[in-house]
Amino acid sequence: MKTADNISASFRDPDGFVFQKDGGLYRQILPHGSKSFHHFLNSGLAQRLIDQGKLAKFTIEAINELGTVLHITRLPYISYPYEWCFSQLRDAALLTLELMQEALANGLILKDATAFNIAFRKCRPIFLDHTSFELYQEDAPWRAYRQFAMHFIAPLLLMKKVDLRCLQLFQGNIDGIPLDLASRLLPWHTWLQPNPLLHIHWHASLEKRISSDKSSRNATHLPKRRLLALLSGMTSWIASMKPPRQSTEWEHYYNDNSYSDHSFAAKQELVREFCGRYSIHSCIDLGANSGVFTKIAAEFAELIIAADFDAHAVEALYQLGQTQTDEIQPLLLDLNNPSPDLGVLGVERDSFFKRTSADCVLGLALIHHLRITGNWSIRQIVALFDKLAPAALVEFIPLDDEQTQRLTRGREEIYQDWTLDNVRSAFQEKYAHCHVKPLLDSGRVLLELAR
Amino acid sequence: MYIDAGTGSMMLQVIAAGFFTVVIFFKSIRAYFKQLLTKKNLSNDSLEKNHEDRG
Repeated sequence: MKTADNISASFRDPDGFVFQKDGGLYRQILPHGSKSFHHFLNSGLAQRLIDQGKLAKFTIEAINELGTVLHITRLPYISYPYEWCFSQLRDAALLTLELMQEALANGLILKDATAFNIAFRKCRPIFLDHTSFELYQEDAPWRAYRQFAMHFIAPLLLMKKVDLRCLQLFQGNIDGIPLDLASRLLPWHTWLQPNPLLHIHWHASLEKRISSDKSSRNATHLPKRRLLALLSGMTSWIASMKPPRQSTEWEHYYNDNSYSDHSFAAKQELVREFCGRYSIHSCIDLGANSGVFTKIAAEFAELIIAADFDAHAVEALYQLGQTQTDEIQPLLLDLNNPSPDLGVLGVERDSFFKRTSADCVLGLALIHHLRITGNWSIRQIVALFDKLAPAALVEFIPLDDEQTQRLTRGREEIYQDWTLDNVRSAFQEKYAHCHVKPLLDSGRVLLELAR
Repeated sequence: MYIDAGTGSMMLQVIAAGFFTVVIFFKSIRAYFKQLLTKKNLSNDSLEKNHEDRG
């Protein structure tokens, strides 16, 4: 029998920890957090949130000498805040505020407000931490307010007012973006806007000016009515935030390529055939763009990790998931620099490759970018697909294609190894089955691969 | 409590909460007058309608 493994991301909380045993996921509630947890349970709030799909499902597995053990229903995929689009981070912030208000109505409060407490299931945010709810002390302020500002308000404002790419600051600051840094990066006119002024600029200045003093901290009182006003103010402000519009070269990719309508329809049909033949349950769509092929994969799979390095594409995929195909798990991913292992001892947050595997991978109109723009070798491209799934559908676009020509910009001689024969034989080293399917008159081909 | 709440942060929270309490107070006054006006308009409309129906 396999022994229990503690999940390294849960080490901070003195009220409990998460562990895996025999493939199951469990949460141990320690005596220190027992009173709060049982109040959460007995108030009916836990069950109500589970029924609404806002809290990860659990059942009580056992009561032992250490406290209560919960068996947690594992989510199909966990993505991290630095892999989300603007709307995902905003919706995660709104869920945190909603749970905080629900908690207060039930005599509880959220003791932390980290964005890592939230994951996405069927393109809806879901709260993961059952020990975040603790008993509310009359007139106590929200101790997690600063963490909320660092994990949600600062990155949202930076993405909105500076650049969507500011989200990557989160990867270097997994405890939240420092408020003084956010304050320095935000444009001057945010000093004239009440919410950024309060939650970021004054917040950062006060943090710097007032040294940590335990006595004054304990003396802070905040009547519940005022705390609720603060939460309500933050909720309506954050709910009004729309994703910023910034034009990127990928937005019109499908309207501006070298396909004829026939070739494009043939490509869609081949993707459909491939997904049907391998009876897939999970699929990774690398370079998913606006999700045309993600939608086709969703006809067959229960989970599609739709990854793209363009924040607008991920935003579109999230909207697609919310309105049409909720099996999608949108993911902001730069294959040239995928999310690494992060945090304490490098084991707190797993890398993209540690977390991600599926029945098949789609790599459509992708690998020529890796070879030409990223200067990957053909072997590295094969290794990428081999790492992720036992089957793959890969599109090969030759050097004389209009799209490829745009990328090489007269440097064709460097990429002379980019031939169908070379690519096919490299894939054949890892995949026993390799079928070449031409895309009508486009000159492009699809390689259907299986181990 | 395992996260550092920050002394400055706690003070700012009190200020921010005060600010939003005032905002909500004024918003509720505005909503009250808006409601009063809508009711007044509605009752005027229905009076006129009744008048027209009888006419």
